[in-house]
Amino acid sequence: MRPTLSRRGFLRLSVFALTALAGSGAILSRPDMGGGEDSLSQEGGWKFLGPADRELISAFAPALLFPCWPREPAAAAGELARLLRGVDTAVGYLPRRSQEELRQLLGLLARPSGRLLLCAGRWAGRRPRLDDGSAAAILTAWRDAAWGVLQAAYAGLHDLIMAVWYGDPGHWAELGYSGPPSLPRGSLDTRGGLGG
Amino acid sequence: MNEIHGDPGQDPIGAGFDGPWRARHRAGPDIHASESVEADVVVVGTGAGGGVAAERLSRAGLSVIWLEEGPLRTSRDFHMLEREAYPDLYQEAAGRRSRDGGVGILQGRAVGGSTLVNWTTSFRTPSETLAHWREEHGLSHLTDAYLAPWFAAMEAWLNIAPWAAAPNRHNQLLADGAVAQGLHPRVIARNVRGCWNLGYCGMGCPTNAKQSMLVAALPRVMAQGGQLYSRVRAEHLLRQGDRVTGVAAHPLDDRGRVRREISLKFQARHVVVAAGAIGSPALLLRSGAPDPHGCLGRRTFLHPVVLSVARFPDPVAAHQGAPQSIYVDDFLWPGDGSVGYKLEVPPIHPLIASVVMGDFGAAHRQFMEAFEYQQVVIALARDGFQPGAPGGQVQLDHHGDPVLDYPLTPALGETFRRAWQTMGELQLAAGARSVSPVHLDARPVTTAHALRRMVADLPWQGGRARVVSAHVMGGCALSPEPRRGVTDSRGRHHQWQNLSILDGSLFPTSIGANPQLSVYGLCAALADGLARELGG
Repeated sequence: MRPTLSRRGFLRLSVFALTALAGSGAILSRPDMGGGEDSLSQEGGWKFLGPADRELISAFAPALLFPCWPREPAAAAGELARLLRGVDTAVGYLPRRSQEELRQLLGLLARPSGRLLLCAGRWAGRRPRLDDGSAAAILTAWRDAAWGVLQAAYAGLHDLIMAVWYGDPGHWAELGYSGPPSLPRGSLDTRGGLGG
Repeated sequence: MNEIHGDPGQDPIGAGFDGPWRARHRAGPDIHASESVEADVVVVGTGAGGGVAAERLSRAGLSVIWLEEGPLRTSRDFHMLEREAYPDLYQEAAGRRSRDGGVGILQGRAVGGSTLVNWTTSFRTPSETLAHWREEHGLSHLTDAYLAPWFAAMEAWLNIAPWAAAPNRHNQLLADGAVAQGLHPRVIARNVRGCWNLGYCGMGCPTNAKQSMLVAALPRVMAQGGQLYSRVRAEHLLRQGDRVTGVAAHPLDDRGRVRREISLKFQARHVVVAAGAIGSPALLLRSGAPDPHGCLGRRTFLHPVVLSVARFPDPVAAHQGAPQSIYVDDFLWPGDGSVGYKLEVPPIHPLIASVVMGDFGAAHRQFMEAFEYQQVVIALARDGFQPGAPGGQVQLDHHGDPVLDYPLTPALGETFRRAWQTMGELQLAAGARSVSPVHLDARPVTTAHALRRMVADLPWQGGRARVVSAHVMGGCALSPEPRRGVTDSRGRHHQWQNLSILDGSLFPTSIGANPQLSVYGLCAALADGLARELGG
């Protein structure tokens, strides 16, 4: 059946191989640097996501989260800022292999050649902005692709963005979920937050 | 040490590490120089296998160094929040997947291992499974009679008993649907003492009611003088010739990254590897362990799970109350040679639900908006018993980190289709308004007939069907014959001396039930034998 061929033939091709195809080998040489070049800038403190990465996530998040992504620009900007910080933190807990693959994917998508390869005609050449309709079309194509690399691109963005959005207590009320119960904790420290 | 009962105002384990045990715990981020330490035994891993092993060995008077890749967290740290618990307490931030992405794998990674975050479901190894092991895998000593006293001892220690309170509505609907279909729902036994019936077992028990290895084994090991190293990764085994002499390790930082610049050496008369069915084969692979018959890391099993979601007319609140209290085994041992499956329900919380629902946009949101009304049944496929479900293989990536290659097979696919049908019909019989397999090509339907028509064409491949696992087993199989296993019947490595493997990786097939009690019982028996051999 189909999966045998696709598993052996295609799925083993990782995003690394794609990177070579798209001629963006420069990214490979600095897998750990990420997009952290702006970490010293005024809105620094980013551990993984660089400016181009953040733009890419901004392009796909509204389509993934439609129809709950806010239409009002100020509200959308606030949600986006929280989402990006959440993704940046979450990526830091992924294993090295996953971080590298995400880095490759974002690196590819930042380049016209990579976009041509991954998004076909849906994200033309040098157009930096992606409207929500095109983003949804690209996500649909990746989701339904027979090619494991595209499926992985979809799964990676889907899981990260959904996890950050629905892990946020601010998004629970609209689900009718009131959050965990409160417990009589006595003198125990219940301030929350991840310790070292 | 007294038994620990559920009490959200107490943190006896945390108090132990604030006080008397403090000097005998080192955390990776706080280790600043290379060092070398010695003990009678090094135990790698603090989950179900490592927990009973360390407890038995230190009780026998042997000095124990205990290594854990994850952090030490205690009840004061458990806030019942997914976004904290998954990155902190799970392998790969709960996003571990098989190599081709086809199966999502939930596995614990903290002191206590998966026992810290499991749903407390406890089954003895089914008699049918043991019979298969005796007949097909040469494990003639593993009879019900031999294991019964070990299971009884574990049940007494961990207060394992059928859940006496009423099931939550999520589980009750499984029971109702099963009865309506002429099936036989039964009550699940749980390892809890004074459970508050909260429903957040998967994020670390905030009351210490769950008798995890954190709560049950760790205080005993520390009371015996044990030395705990958290956030330390065992890199490879140290040895002289074919004699294992210890473990080389690196500390991790507070996000779990390996700090290669610092080297730790743990030297011991004997090493127990209990890093779980992905971690244990990986450690042996990194160590270059001999594998003359190609058994190491092979036949790794997952109980691959498919899901069916049902929309009920009134709230189900599947996040509330003991997550698993009812099971249905009517399809576990089919007579037609197909792969059997067990039915249960999983707890549903917003983050994990949003990730498991693979779609996006409007379809995804529709599901999330009905969050409180959703009921989910899961089918756990019993892999490893038939040639058509041979399991997967643990491999290393270019960092030396493990990755599990697990091809889904047509035999499993056939079972997935049967299970989607069974689960959907059961949910409709329980009063569901609509049901749907959790699958990118499925849509909600309202009749068994419509479900049958849809399921017949539904691809079973992992890219379309959502397939998950919370049980990793096998990869270092027990076998009296070196050609068929990694360890002998005592759990000793066939080729290297002074090395035991004591965890779920020993199983020659999957269990056919949630595996924690199988790990406890078998590993307690083997660890007791080891303690005697080491003269403890």
